[in-house]
This record gives sequence, C-alpha cells and structure tokens, in this order.
Amino acid sequence: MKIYLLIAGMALATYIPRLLPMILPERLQFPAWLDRWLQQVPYAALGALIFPGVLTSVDGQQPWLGLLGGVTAGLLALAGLNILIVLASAIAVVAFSLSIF
Amino acid sequence: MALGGAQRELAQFRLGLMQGLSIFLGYLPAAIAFGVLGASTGLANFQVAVMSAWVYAGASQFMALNLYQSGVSTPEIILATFVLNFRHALMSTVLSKRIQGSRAIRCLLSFGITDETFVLTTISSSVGSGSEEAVREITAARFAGVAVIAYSGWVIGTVFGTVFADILPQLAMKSMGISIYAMFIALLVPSMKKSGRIAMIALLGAALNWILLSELKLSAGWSVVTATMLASACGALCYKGEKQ
Repeated sequence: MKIYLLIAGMALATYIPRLLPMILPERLQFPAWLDRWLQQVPYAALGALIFPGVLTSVDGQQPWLGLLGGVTAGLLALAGLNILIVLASAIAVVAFSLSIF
Repeated sequence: MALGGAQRELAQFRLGLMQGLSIFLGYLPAAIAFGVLGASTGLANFQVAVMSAWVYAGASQFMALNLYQSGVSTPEIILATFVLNFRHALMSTVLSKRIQGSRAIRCLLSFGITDETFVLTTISSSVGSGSEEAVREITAARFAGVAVIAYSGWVIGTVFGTVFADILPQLAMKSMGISIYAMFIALLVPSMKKSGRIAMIALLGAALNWILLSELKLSAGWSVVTATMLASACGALCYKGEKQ
C-alpha cells in the first residue's frame, strides 16, 4: 500500500509542474522581451541537457566512451544524416569500443 | 489539394509518431534498465510498471528506487521528485505559447512533456524536417503523436525490463545509454550550423550547467533549469542587439 502512496505522490509531483503553465488564460499576451526569452529556451536547454550528462551516459562512468559517442553523433549530424542513422551509429561506435576495451 | 480538418489532424498525428520514433528508441534502453533495477529491488513487476505509467519521469524514478531502498521517507522522496522535475514548468510555459489547441487539450497533452518531447517538438518546428509548412507550428495533433510514441517506449520498455531482467545482454544495454544524447545532438547540430547565435546559446547552456553542477554543487534538476534560463536570457539580449 505504501508503495502506491509513494507512486501517486510522485505522479502529482511530476504532473503539477507540467500542467500549471497550461492553465494560464488562453489569450494571455506575454511582453515582447519575455517571448523573446522563451523562444531561446529550447536551445539553451539542449546544451544543458547534453553536457556534462553525455559523459556519464555509458554505464554511469567511462567518460571517454560517452564523449566518443557524442562526437560521433555530432559529426554525422553535421554531415546532415537522418536522426535515426545518427542514433544507430553512435550506439554502434560505443558498443564496438566497449567490446574492445 | 486542401485536406479536410480530420484528415489534416491525422496527418499531423502521424508526422508526430514518425518524429517521435527517435525518442522511442532512446527511451527503450533506459526504460528496460529501469525495469531491471525495479525487479531487483523487491517490488512486484506490476508496481514497477505502474510507476513508469503514472510518474513518467526517467531520472526521478531511478532516484526514487534508490531512496526507497535506503529507507528514506515517502514525503522526502516526493519532494525530491518535485525539485528534480520543476524544470518542466519552464518547458511547459514555452509550449503553452506554441501548442495550437484549446486549453483542455493542452492540459491533457502537458502530461506528455518531457525533456525529449519538448526539445524535439520545439526545435523540429523551428528548423523544419519534413515539409516546411507541416512543422512550423506545433499542432496539438503532432505533439500528441510525439507524446504517445515516447510514452509507449517508456512503459513498454519498463515492462520488458521487469520480465526479461535476467537474460538481457549487458553490452547492448550499456551502449544504448548513449542513444538519448545522440538524439539531442542530432537535433541541436543543424540549428547550430544555421545560426551562430543558437550555437552560442547552446554552448553557454552546456558550460553553465557544468559549472553549476561541479563548482556550485547544485542538484541536477536545479542546475539544468538555472543554466537554461541564464543562457536563454543572454541569447535574448543578443537577439535584441542583432535585430532591433
């Protein structure tokens, strides 16, 4: 029973921050500076989500392997390859390195 | 050819499912790992699955299992979850201005907001993948498509992990940890190539997050949200200087 109480509490704790901003009135206009600020959020968030998390992405350690996978993805994305190919290649490079070392 | 309303919504939903495929593939290994861990903590498989289905927050769930095992009290775990996930309030604020749809629909869709669905929908709508017109706006139907496939990946992966905990190959599990980061990078690089300002904002976000984590010892949740707000504020100031 206690575990379901925990799960329900956690569910509220994760849903409330997602839900609250959506309750704002539909026609609410933000001032221009705030709109400009919010437009930049996805790029800033991506940067922060990638680094330094990528360094602990392989097994919670082995930062060089995480970096290797990240650089592989970066180069292939720079070459304009499809996102799924980038993903598969990064996994393959990391798996190959893991099996050697 | 003009599409009817329902047909257009269906097309947008399908586009969302296709775009979300990369998230699905990224979530599967993480969710499987969560299932494996959950099964090893003495929880019933069903309870582990319910946690993924209701809580739907990767890092918090791993943290909760950890704390639960070390005997931390329920209110403390819930509070830690709230702190770790508060960053989604910022993402939801951005999406509240961009998802096209009624308030009721947007409230429902907000359950599907994760780091990954947020960046995928906001950035693919800015840079375009697929036809330009189809991705410029975040329609409710497209967001729903992305959210549904991402959620499926998380829940299906968890169930798979609890059931097949003992027979999963270690090498594959370890290597697939890179997949979500590869997806983030694949989303970011084309935008960085296009605009020096975007490149600067992203690099600044990364650098700030690193400093906040390693020097100021902020927790991961606060660190991401603080770095994001500071870097995007710098970007907005730059933008003002550039354009107006």
